[in-house]
Amino acid sequence: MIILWKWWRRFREQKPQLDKAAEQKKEQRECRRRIRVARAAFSVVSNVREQPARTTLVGCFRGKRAFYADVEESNKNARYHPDLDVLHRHLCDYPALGCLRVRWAEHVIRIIVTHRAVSGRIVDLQEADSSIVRLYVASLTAGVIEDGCAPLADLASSDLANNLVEYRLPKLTLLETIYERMQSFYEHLLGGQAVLSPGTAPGSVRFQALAQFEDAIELRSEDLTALRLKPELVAIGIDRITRELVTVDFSRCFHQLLAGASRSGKTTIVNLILWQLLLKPKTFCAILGTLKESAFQSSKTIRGSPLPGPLRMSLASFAVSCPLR
Amino acid sequence: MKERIDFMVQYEIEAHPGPRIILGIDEFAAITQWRVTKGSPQERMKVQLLADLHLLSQQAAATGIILISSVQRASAGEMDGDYRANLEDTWLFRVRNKSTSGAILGPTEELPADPTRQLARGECIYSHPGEPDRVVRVFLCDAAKDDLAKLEAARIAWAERPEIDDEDDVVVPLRAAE
Repeated sequence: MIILWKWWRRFREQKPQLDKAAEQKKEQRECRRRIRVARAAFSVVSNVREQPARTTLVGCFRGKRAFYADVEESNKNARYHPDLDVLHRHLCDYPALGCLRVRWAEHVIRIIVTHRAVSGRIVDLQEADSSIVRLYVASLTAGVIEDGCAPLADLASSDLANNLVEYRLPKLTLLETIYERMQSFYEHLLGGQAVLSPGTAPGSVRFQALAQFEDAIELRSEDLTALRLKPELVAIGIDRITRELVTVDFSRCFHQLLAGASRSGKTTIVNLILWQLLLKPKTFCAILGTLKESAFQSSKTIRGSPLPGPLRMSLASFAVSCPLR
Repeated sequence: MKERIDFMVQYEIEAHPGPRIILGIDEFAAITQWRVTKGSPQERMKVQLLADLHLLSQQAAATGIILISSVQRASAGEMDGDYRANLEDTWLFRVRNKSTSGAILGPTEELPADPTRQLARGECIYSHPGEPDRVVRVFLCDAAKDDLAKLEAARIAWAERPEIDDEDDVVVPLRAAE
């Protein structure tokens, strides 16, 4: 009797948690059921309808759902395809895309994007409740052009309608972890700091940071005056936010640590400092120890050139000094 | 360094008046991870080299010798903690994961940009003691071999230039890093 009473008491204590878990399972089942219903509806629509004339097959949804793009009448109506409206409504009905729905929604969006890109048709999904849908569509409608590159901020959605572009999403699946990794990609796009252009491979797109298109940066005269008057100052770069010149004052003698992954720009800074030191031979000597001789080929060729005393002595030891070789 | 210290002691000065010496070590991990046979002369050389570098990081700043070390991950296996602590200015470029950036500049949340995601190539976070961290877009130094003759001619011309009283402001175009 006591055992039964204890068991009953434990059951009473755990009952709220069990009820909560049951409710969650019920919600998940309901979610899966809605997805199944939606898939079935789409597949029925696609199976019933045959491919109309003057269209071309552009996509297939899980081997069941086929999309046909109307080539000739593509630009007449932004919502010409009725099935896309169904998809649109269905996506807009989603309050939020959870983990289970994300992959499916990503497939749907990929189909829409492929279809729209090939047919040059725009489907307005900006009204969707899902942030992921809005993020996808906002980036896709922001700035893909057929030829060349253009800043995203200068492009409108109508630019897409007049061009045929091939676009493939960067990831085939959109798990939450992958979404986190891709967030900077979208932040660059939405912030106008990057451009998209058609890639070399069919169906691919090229992502380029906007910094590559900044040909020249005009420095302020007061910065140049400071650099000229104080030879210990070495210009390194420009502040990304304030656009001010960033210099290092070597008269204060701070040791420098450069850290970062491969091909992130560490050697560039070393080269930059060395090349600026070449213009200030009375102030600096430079000794370089490295195993990467290829990165400093330009400095190596100065060896033996008639440069002033201390600099010539130091340059003679360029790309040596390291006893490992 | 000893010569400089003796000179400073002799003249009772705190800063060496001679030119600064920049010692740049690219890929510092190549030294620490140098595989040597135990008891070989190479091992003694490695130990001596690391000890000298450690001594330089401690005392060379006062004598006008500046160290510039680059490393991919400032972990204990690639760079000694004491040596790392003596390098005050830090340029953190894009890294693979947050643990790497955390070992260099602390928690990612306190940085002006996430070094794992929000830094493009050539962009870095500059940390200077006593100042807030800044995101810096580094200039691209693309001096080619063909430019060396021009540089040499410019240097000679600069050395032989006539004296000008009023200096005009000059705008120098510099290409930004990729």
